[in-house]
Amino acid sequence: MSNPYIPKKVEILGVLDESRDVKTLRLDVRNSKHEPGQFMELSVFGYGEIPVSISSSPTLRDYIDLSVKNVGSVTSVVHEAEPGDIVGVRGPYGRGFPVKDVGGCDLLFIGGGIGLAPLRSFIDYIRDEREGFGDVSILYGARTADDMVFKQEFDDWRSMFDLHLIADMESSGWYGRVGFVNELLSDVSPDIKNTYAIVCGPSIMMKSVLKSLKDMQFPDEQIMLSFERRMKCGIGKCGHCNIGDRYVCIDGPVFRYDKVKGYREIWG
Amino acid sequence: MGSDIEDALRGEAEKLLSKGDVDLVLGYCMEGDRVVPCFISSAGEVKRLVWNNRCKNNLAVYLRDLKVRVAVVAKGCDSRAILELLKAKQLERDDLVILGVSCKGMVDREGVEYRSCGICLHRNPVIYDVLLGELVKEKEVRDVDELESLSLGKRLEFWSKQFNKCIGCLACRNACPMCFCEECVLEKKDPEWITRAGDVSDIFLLHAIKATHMAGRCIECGECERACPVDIPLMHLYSRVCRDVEELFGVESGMDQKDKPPLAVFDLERDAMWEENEKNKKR
Amino acid sequence: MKKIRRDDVVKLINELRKNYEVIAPVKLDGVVYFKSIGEGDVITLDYVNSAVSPKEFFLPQRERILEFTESGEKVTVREDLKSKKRVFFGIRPCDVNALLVLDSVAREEFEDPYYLDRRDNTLLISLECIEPGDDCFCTVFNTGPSLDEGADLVLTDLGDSYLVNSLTDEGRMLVSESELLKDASKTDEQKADKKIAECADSMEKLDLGNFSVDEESIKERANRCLYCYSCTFICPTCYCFDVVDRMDHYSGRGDRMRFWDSCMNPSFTEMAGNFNPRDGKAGRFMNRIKHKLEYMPSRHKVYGCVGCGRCISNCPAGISILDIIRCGVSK
Repeated sequence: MSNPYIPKKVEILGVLDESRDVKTLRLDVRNSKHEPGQFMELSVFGYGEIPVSISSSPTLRDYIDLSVKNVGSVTSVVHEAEPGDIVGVRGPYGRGFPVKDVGGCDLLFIGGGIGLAPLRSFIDYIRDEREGFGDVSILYGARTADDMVFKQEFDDWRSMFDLHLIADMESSGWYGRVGFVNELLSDVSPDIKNTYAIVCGPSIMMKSVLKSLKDMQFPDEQIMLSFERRMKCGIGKCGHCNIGDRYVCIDGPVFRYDKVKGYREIWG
Repeated sequence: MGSDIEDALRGEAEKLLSKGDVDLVLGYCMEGDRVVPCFISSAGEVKRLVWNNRCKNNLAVYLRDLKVRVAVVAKGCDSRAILELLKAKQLERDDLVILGVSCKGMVDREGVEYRSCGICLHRNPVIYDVLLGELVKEKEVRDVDELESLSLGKRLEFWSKQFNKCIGCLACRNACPMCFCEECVLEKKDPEWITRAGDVSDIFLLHAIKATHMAGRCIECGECERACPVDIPLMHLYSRVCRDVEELFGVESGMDQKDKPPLAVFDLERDAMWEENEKNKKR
Repeated sequence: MKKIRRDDVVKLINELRKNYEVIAPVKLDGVVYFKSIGEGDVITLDYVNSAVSPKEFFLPQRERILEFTESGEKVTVREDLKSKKRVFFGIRPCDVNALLVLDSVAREEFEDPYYLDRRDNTLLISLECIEPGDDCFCTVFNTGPSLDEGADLVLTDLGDSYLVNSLTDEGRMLVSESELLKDASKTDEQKADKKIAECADSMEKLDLGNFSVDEESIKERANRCLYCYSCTFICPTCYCFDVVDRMDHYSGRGDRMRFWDSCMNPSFTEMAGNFNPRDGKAGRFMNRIKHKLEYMPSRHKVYGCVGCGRCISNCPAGISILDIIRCGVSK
């Protein structure tokens, strides 16, 4: 019987500063064949293990990116890692975005803060497999412009997709929109019949974006949500990540809204 | 008589609820053949309230989270818990109507008296707004704990056997009315003082830390022992701490609201007076 | 079927101890525990059930799931998987069914090798019940008092002897050489059936056909609950665990441990960064009950409760899951 609790040792190829509290670890994992939206369990031996969405596209065969925000006892140690260090990974786990089901359709990505990480995996996949998909719009907001992640991709995205940015608060050097990300919805006019909305971000942001999407008459089956919950095992055994009878680690983290609509605990 | 007290309790509860003096009455009801805590919010429900020799729960444990005006049934130990919580500024006196009632000891479903009741010296409530029934005669001399006569080696053997049963569930802490810390040292992760992933020495440490943290606050109600799923006789530990505090600081917990918590307040004058008293006693 | 004299049961256990580790019930200060039997342990046959459920022998309260050593650049990771053949004597039908529930969790999508290894290496000798305990309600979930599958041998108390029925080949082979077992007669088998039937008849049955969790009954009890965790730790089907790494930075050795956790704990769902989707007491209580009575049946087609009654006996606030179940039936 194989042991799903044993991590595989991998080397850190590079560490990239995304913002003041987010770093991306580039790991030596080849041909990951993951679905955009899946996650890995990242082990820092001696400190702990955390679930992290894979933020790179599976089309990039030589590495995977895990973007980690510094918020706790394990992530603070991750932020001290350097290229050459060894970490452990288990995965990829979970159900990612239904890439095949949305082929040929338009896509509306709505991200908040670090929530852009799993979305980037899908966005870059579309960048590399462009023909399979229709028009792509990306609405992204963060607390301040300095908190925005993957800024180095924005020019690329602007050239291929429709990108809109917004910050909750003013900051020096930011001349763009100020407000919450669901305000950006009024900047786009998606063809509702042929568009999938894909949302990921803090819980309050997702709840409010969902309300706006429903006001725009988006059908429940065309809204994809990526949830985050406390996870330990990542394989449906430890019981921490449940939303009703669904486990975010094995039935999610991506859920179609119509499948979880009735659950009272989705927003916390 | 039990039923007289029951009638008085129901009458008082009805009066308080219908006049709007309180929003909730916290007492005991029957559920099947069990006596359980219950929350009565309307005058029509007061007939559910009971008073008998199985009303063991210390209702003070619920008071902190109820942000409304509450009338609470309080036996001797319960009233001492309320008093300690008031001392620790965890409750507002104005939000409470204490329905004091004297207790002759509580029994379990087999009719056996709880150990904490057998050694209790405070059957009468020490603080109350209304007294239901009459005061009873208190036991005058405290029983000596049987562990006192054992040597250190024998006591270590006793506790090793007991703590091998301990599953670290922390029911003793969760059931205790005096354990109200928002962040408990026993569960803190950063730094992690003790871990449930450890061995029996961590269990010893867990109980040692908890017992020490109870110093000056434990009122010996026995809820910890009753909550323990593996029946560890925890009261031996906490009673010991209570006796030590009384000896060292001259303060008995839960008796006088004017007492300052002995481990929280450094009062040179009080300590000096106490030492003087002790010297005089010995002469 | 076979039978064994009551006085010979301890002899049988001692025979088994020659080749296996045997876990059997003992009494300590009047409380019954299952224990790995060693010299000097006195086995008891006079009990309803153990205080803490048998799950600790399959899903231990704490266990090491891997070890690692760090020396300079080198990291070695080693799993800690070791178990030997053992015999579990005296497990009640409700607890056997609880292991079947834990099996379905352990096998879902990914296999949990630590649990399954212990499970596969343990032979179960179950003791059917001829008298219910004060809080037992196995008949509500059909998890007792008799046992037709899930164990290797089943014993039924006939008074001065026990009827011995082997449900598996391993069970049969375990005792095939023992001279303590004699052939049982048809009368013995009938007597056993009668005793079990009498036991079952004296217990409550409910029609769970239209069962749905009654939320009002839960809300009332959530207020009374002390969130003391003891129900989750003594429950034979509760399986939630937490995982923590420990490291000795001087020697470079460390391990990853998993240990029982409780959904009643406010930080059960707490995430780093201060988001806690279930920090309210009522939410946690509701989640626990619904997990046992609604979510488990939805995922695994079995109820997450086997009617052992331990939570009812132990709850300091007198909360009974059976009361909640009754409310969900009478509609």
